[in-house]
Parts: sequence; structure tokens; C-alpha cells
Amino acid sequence: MGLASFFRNLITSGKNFEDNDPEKMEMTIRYVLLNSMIFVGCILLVLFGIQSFRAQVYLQGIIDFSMAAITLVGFVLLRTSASFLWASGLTVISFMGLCGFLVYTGGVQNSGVLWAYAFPLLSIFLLGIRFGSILTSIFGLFLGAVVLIPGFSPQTYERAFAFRSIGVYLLVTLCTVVYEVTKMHKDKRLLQLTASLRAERDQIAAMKDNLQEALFLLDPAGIIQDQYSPILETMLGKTNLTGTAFLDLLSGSLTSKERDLLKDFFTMVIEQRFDPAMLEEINPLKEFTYLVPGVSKEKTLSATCSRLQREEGRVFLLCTLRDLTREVELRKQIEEEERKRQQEMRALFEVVHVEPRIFEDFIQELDSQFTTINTALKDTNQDNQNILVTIYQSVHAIKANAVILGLSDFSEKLHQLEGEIKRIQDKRLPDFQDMLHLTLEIEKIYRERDTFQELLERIRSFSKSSGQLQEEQVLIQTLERTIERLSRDLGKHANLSVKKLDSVALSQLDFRLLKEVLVQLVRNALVHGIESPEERQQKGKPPAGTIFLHLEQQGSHWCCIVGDDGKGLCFDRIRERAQHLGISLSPEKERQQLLQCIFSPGFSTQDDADLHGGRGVGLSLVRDRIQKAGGTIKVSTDEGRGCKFYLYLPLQQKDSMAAG
Amino acid sequence: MEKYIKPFVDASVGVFSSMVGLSVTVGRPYLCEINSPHEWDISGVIGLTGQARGAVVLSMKKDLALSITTALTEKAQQEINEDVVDAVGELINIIAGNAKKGLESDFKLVISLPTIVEGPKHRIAWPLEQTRIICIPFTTGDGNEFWLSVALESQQGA
Repeated sequence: MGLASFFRNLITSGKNFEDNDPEKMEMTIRYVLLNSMIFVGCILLVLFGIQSFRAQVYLQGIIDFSMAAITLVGFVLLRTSASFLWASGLTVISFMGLCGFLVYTGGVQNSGVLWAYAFPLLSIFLLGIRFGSILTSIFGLFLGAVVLIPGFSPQTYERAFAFRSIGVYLLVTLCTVVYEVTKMHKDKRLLQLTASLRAERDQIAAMKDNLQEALFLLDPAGIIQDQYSPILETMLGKTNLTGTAFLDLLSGSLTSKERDLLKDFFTMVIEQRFDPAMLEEINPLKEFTYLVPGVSKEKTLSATCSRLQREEGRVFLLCTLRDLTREVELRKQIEEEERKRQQEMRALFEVVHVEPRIFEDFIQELDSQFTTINTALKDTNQDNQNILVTIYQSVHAIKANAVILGLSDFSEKLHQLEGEIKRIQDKRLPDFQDMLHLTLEIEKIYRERDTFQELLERIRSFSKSSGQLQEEQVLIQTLERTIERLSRDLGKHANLSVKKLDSVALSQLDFRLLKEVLVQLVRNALVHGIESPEERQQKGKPPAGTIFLHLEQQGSHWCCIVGDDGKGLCFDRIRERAQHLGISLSPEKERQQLLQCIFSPGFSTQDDADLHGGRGVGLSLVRDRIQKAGGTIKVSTDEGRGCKFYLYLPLQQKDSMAAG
Repeated sequence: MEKYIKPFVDASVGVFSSMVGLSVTVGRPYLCEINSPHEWDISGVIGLTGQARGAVVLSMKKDLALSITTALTEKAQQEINEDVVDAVGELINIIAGNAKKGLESDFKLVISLPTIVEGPKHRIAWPLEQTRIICIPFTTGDGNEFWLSVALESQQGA
């Protein structure tokens, strides 16, 4: 290797030219030719010189040696940065001198003239057509003089020889010129062609490199070919993709079934089984989720493939890959906004149907429940589990009201929140993360409340006319709505019958508390007490059940009775449920214990929780509220004929609430 | 949202124990009216923008600020002065820096350098329209408290 590169260096004068540049390539050839000439010439001249000295022709010997020396100067010149013309000129002129000398003297057997024929070739090739032609002409004239003018040289004059010599010289010159001109012309064409090709290539490369879509070729085996867009690496989050199977890159993002589908699709594209529109239709990569390797990041990409046939008959898949992540993100955002807007519209419609006075009442109650929730959250003396019970009750109460008002979206959200609380409750020790999550969820509900508030204000501004409803009417309307909504959902029929509603009681009792408790009891009656119309008819009852309400003063208490003509408490079911929950029952006090059970949180005889009941919150909430207000509850039940709840609240109850 | 808040909580606990040498317990988060009165004496406001927009504010009373300064500068201070503001600022800066590590790599979020606000019962003007903020109380080993208040709005549909 060392020897080869040394030789290469020697012959090209250490000049390094790019291999793919035709212009430089020619320069290399010129260097190689000149150097070889210098070497051959130098060696020959030295040999001639030695021979001349041995033949004791000293003058010729000296000329030979000096010529050799001059060519060596050319060799050195070639290696410097001096123009090629200087070194080549030196060599050509010294060669010209040598040839002139040989022509003049005639040489061995008159062969000196033969050297002359090499001259046009060398001079024109090395010096180019202009300088080369001048030197060739000068030498031609000299040759003519030598052979034509008798006595000019020591040779004998022979006309035939003279004309032949000049003829051949002219022929060689002509051929060289023609060759050189043709070559120059060809070079020029080549140069133009190369330039235009290069410009084209640069344009295509620029397009490929700057396109937001990645372009790449796959061979029939699905291997990525080397000329792919650089952006492909960014998209796939991987470098050096040449030689990688495209399917392997996607393996993390596709199921094996999808992979098989994709393989079939590639085959279909290659075999052109269907028209392009059809293929595009069934393209499994039209939009797919790509898992970027190494980082937990998802991208939405879109790939298209088409068949590409190269001239050698080889078939490739021309694929484009587009990053749709941002588009999809935006689309989702728009969808989400649309959903939100629709929801707001729905909420608006739902709200419009509600009497503003009742709606305001709802918001006020919401606020008071939120206060309860937030107070509980702030209370550092209570542990998480206790607080969760409080929050659950409040959320449940809000939900009950939302259902009455027919705010279905909002109720659904509260129902989900209940589920979320339940999930956290089921963990023995809820941690900070859980509570943070819960707080954020509650905050979301809070925001809904703000929306409602805004809606209410807007509605208010439309309908100033409808006068204020009295509390009595609010209460009755609320309960009637509760029954109406619930019975529709449950497929039952029931009416509210108000026997007596003491207006003094209404003004003295905490109205919100009373309403909340009554709503829960009415719900309870309807869900658990009143039977379906068919069942009622079988029992000989009217198909529509009755829920009655009675509120009056009894001694030092307000007594409120909520009753129904339904099936009454089913002790068997309660017992079964209690045993299931592992509550121990003593036979003598069983009835009382079972009644206690129905008021405890989380106790429900219904198996599935839905919007209306089944999570065992309603009655526990009633007990909580009544106990806090210093009241008591009694239950009387008659199996098959109905159940009554007696609530006893102290007179002046409003004050005690305010104090609490 | 939790994913944006958690790094700040973790960073607060970590930095307090490593820099100040105080063990810190996180209390139960609750909601706060935006203008509800409080007893803060010094706060660091860290702005967020990108995927989520808003601010995270770490606030404390004078006592804790002074003991932090003592722990960091080894020089006892009696009143809130420039040294105290510097020390608390540095601490909050480190907390923001630690939280930033987790947030900027996983989410498209940019976190600002904290701004320190000082003064008895100062009020924060929150950059969002919402009326409530999430308040996370912390209790230090020596019985002091500080709060992380968060008001963030997700910029994306998700």
C-alpha cells in the first residue's frame, strides 16, 4: 500500500483531485502524462548523454544532460503551486529543443525526424490548443526548413523525403487539433450537463430535506433504502434507518394482527392488485399511533405507499410519512370545545325549564354543601376516611337536587364523583395523591356551579316578571318534581299529597335542611317503598302510589311526617343485607337494630348503584342532618301497607342551627 | 392537573429536608376563595405557561422565613430584611428548579423564575379568571406551616 501510494503521489505530483469531477480528472491525466514524460525523457536523455560521452561526442552529451536537468526542473516545478503551464511549457520547450536537435542532426539512420511527430501531440495536449498550436507551427517551420532548404542542415536533401516528412507532420498536427477541439467541445457539453444535473439534484435534495413529509423507499422485503428524508429520523425518533425493516420499527405500535394486515397491504401495493384509490381506501396506516422508542411519547402518523418501478425492473414501495400529531391534537381540542359548548347549551336548556327561584335555591344549597365539603377538607382534626363520608353525603345531596331539577349532565358528573370517592374510600389509607385528585375533581364541579350562576343571571335578566315563589310553593314544587322525575325513570306512578304544611314551621325551620331531608325521604319512599303499577294492582292497590307530607307543631317540637302506601320495610331483606355485611344481631332487639341499619352510611338493599339510589347515603344523610339539628327520627312500618318517617325537630330550631 | 402539581409538592418536601434540614409533612389539600384573607408574610410566585397556564405560589409566615434564613446563612435575623428575602427567594428558586426538571421534560411547559413578594398579609393577583385556587398546606418538623397555592388551567382539550 505504501509503495502504491508513493508511486501515485510521484506520478500525480502529490496533487489530489476529486474523482467525480470530470474537469479535475482531465487535469490529473495531464499531470500523469507530463510526469511520465519527464521520467521517460529524463532517463532516456541521461542514457543518450552517457552514450554520447562514450562516443566522445561531448557537445551532444552536454546538451543531453542539460536537457535532462531542465526536465527535472519541470518535475520540481510541477510539485510546487506554480501554474501547470510553467512546468509543461518548460518540458515541452526542452522536448522541442531535443526534437529540433535530432531533426537537425538526422539521428541514427535518419530517424531523428520520427521524434518530430510526437511533438504536436504533446505540445497541444499539454499546453492547450493556443500555445500548443503556436509551438507546433514554429517547429513545423523549422522542420520544413531542415528538410526543404538544402544546406540548412548537415543532411542530404531529398525532395520525396522532405514532402513525406512535412505531410506526415501536418497530418499528425491536424489529427491532434481535431481531436483536441472535439474533446474540448465534448468537455464543455459534459460540464454543462453536469452543472444542470447538479442543480437539479440540489433542488430535489433541498425539496426532500425540507419537506415536512418524509419520503423513503422500501424494497419488496420492506427494508428502508438509503436515500430517505432526514425528517424521517425525527419522526420515528431513531437514527440510521438504512437497512432497517419498516415493519420492525412499527412493531411496538402495532398488534400482531395489524402487522399481518400491513404485510398484506404491502404485497397488494407491490402486485398492484387494486387501483390506487382503492388501495388508499384500505391503507391501514392512514392514521396510526406511533410509540416513539425510548420515550413515553405518542405520535399520530400517516403513511401512504405506492408502487415504483425502476429501470432495471426492480420494484420498490415509495412511501411518504406525515406527522399528524399536532393536527390530531387540535382536532381533539376542537371536538372537546364543541362538546363543552353543546354541554353548556344543554345545561342552558335544562336550566331554562327551571323556575329561577328554585334554581337560585339550588345554587344556594350547592354553596352551602361546598362550604361543608371545604370545611371538612380544612379540618385537620379529622382523618381522611371521616372526611370522605362527609364529602360523600354532600355530593349525594347535591346530586339529589340536580336530578330533581333535571340537570342530567351535572347529575352524571356528580355520580361519577361519588364513584371516585367510593374508590378512594375503599383504599384503607387514602394518601395525599388521592386527596389532591379529589380536591381537583371537586374544583371541577365548583366550576360547573359558576357556569350555572352565570346562566341564572342571564335567565334573570330575561325574565324579571315571574314573581317570587313562596317557600311553601318552592318546597312542594321541588318534591313534586322529585316524584315526577324519579317515577318516570323508575317506571312507577306516585302523587304527592300534602296534608298540612304549617307556615310558621316553614318560616322557623331551616328551610334548606328541611328541603334536603324531605327530598331524601321522598326519594327513599319512591325507590324503596312504592311498588310498580303491576305489583300494586296485583295487591289490589291503585296503580299510582301516594306519598304524603304532614308538618305541624306537636308540643315542644315540630313534627314532620313523610309516609307512603307502598310495601313497607322488608325486614327479611334488611336482615339478609345486615348479615351479609357482618353486623351481629341480637334476637330480642332485632327489629330496632335493623331499623338502625337502614340509617347507617353505605347500607343499601339495592344491588346496583344508579343515579337514584343504591349507595346507601340517603337515609344516613337524613339521620345526620336531623341529629345535628337536635332532632329525632321515628319509623313506623306496616309490611305491605306502607311506611312512615316521623321527624321531630325542636321549636326555635333555626337559631340552634345558626349557632351550630 | 395532578401531574403538574405533584412535582412542586415533591420538590418542596425534598428541598426543605435537604437544604433547611426540616422534615415536612403534606397536609390535605383544600379549596380557597381567591381573595380570602390569609396571614402570609412572604411568597414566591412561579409562573407556568404552555400545556398548562397559571401560577404556583409558595407562601409562609415570618417565623418560618426567619428560621429558613438562619438555617441557610447561619445568621439569626429578627425581622424580614433583604437577607431573609434573598434566602427565601433562593429556596423557592431551588424548589422551582427541581420541579422544572420533571415538568419541562415530560410536558410542554415553561416555568418562570420565581418572583418574591413580601409584606404582611399581602394579596396575590392571580393570572386566571377562576375564583378558587387549590391550597396545599405543609407542616414542618418544628411546627411551622407553609402553603402551596395553585391556580392552573389546562390549555389542551385533554
